[in-house]
Amino acid sequence: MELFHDIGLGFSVALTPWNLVYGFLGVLLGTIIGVLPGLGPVATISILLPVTFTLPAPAALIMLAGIYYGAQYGGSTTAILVNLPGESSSVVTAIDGYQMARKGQAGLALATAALCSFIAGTLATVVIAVAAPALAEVALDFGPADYFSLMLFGLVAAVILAHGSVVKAVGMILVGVLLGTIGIDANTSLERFTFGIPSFGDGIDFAVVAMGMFGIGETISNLEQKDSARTFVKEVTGLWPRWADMRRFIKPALRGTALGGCLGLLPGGGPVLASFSTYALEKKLSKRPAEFGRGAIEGVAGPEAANNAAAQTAFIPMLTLGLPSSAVMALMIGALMMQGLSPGPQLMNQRPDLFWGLIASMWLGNLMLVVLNLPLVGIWVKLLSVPYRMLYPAIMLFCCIGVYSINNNALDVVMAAVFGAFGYIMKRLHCEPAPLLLGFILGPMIEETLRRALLISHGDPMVFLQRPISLSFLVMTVLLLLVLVAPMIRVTRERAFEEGAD
Amino acid sequence: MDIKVSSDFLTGLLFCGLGAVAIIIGSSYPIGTASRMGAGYFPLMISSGLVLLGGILIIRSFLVETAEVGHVDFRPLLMLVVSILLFGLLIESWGFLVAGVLVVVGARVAGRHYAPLETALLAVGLTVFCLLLFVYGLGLHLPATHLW
Repeated sequence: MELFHDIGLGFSVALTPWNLVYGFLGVLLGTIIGVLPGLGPVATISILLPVTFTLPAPAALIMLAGIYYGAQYGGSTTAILVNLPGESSSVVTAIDGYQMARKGQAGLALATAALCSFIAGTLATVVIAVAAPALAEVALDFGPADYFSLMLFGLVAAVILAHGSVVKAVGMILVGVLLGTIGIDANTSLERFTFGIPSFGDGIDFAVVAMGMFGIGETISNLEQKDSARTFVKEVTGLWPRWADMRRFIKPALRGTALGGCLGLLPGGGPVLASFSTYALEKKLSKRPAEFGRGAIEGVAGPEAANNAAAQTAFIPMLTLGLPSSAVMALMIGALMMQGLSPGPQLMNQRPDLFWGLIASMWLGNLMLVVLNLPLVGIWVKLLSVPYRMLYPAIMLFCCIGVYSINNNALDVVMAAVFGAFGYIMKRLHCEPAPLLLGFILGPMIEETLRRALLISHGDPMVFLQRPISLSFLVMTVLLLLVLVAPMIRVTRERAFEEGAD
Repeated sequence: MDIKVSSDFLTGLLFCGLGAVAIIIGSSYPIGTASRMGAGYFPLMISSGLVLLGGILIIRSFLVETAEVGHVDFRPLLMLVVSILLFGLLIESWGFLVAGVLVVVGARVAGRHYAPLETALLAVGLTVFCLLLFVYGLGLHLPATHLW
């Protein structure tokens, strides 16, 4: 069987000592930043992007991916013990997890979260291994027009990701696309928006934008809030669940995996949406819905499985189509490009070692995470007592070093400071940075495919409607736009996010 | 400082401004035709879209009640941005040790955490740690030794 051969190849890559070390570093770092509130995977991955430049491509991707799903595990620890989501996707876990911890079941809640995440991670890895090659096969037939429509769909889907106004999110996408045009135009070799600065010729580096908007911008807005004292549950006992507990959480975990896995595939879906929907589903299915909010184990199991499954299946569109479904996946594509690889369906054939190594490393990473998170939980509890005033200066210093070392160019640091200010201002105006980043990544690809598609069709825009693949993406895009603008759905979407903010 | 202006209005103004600047700068780039696009074709499309969206936001802010921007604390914004700018301006002439210490101190001042002794220890500790980790450990080329 070819699948087994491929997976064998993957493990042979992932199990080399150095890749194991980088994988471990990734999940360790992911757990740490997941545990610490106020520092997320997006900022961390953007800070580390320049460092990965010196690594071989598989090691770089394995480490960055580890940070991402490691943060999902770490985030739930903080949610359960402090009632603060360490990570946006663990908002839901805090509801019942913290109640369990207050009843003296902190150990059980942590074990449930870790084991359900592991179950979901294992199943999602299998799904990626089966589904991704099939999808890539289909994507090989895509022409420029199909890619254009696909990316348009991806951008519109990214709007779901953003809270608040649809108009603002679309505007942020356009700002991102416009920023992406800075530099020498590939087709006509004409300098665009470079203001005569030579180093702008290659465009603004992706890591500069990401680090400015997420690393620096987020820190500025965190500093505005008061450093509130945290009350947390320090006693963790009973880490090993009893058989009866396991029987209670296995079904929610499987349902969460299925729902989360599907939502993760959709551009703009992602772990946050997955955990919210699964919580709602479990509450509806439960025979004792009144327990929810008062420490129901199902309310921890389902969402935890769902957010981990979604975090992993989000890799499928990224790896097979080159389409980022979230800011983290956009960063992954940035990392691939920095390595000189072009993401897309041909990646799997050109670099099977990278592709299958990454998939195998996800399962290994999940295994490491269970070990890291359960027996070592005491360390994470200690880490929670590090105050933010000690952390953010370090984050800022890492940001500066990271940006400077991309090209050893001091102008990059200045640009990052500018994007930091811009990111903060936009955040205060209720404009999210994630759509801008997606626009920045996809912008140049959209321009290129648009040009090529219209060149082939001699300027006839009907080409986008004549090709069935392109047409179906455009139809989906229009439907999505209608859904976003339709008032009824907009209200429920706002309500879902408001519940999250409470 | 309290800003009692609609956030939608300001966003619209910003989008319009950015779009307009891009249109003006981009007007010198050749447009070309749909089948043979010049360098200016795509940016013109995008920046026109941006002006349009900005216009929608501005008009809507007059028709519907929208949220005000509210309280903005300029201190973290200015101090943090300035300290990172300083890092960028000083790293090549004064070296990483000076620039690094400046960023940490600037960040602490930005967040109103003076505590001179703690700040000094943190600044020196972090900078030396980063020097060891990134320059000697990971082999990044930071201008570290300009001081001596």
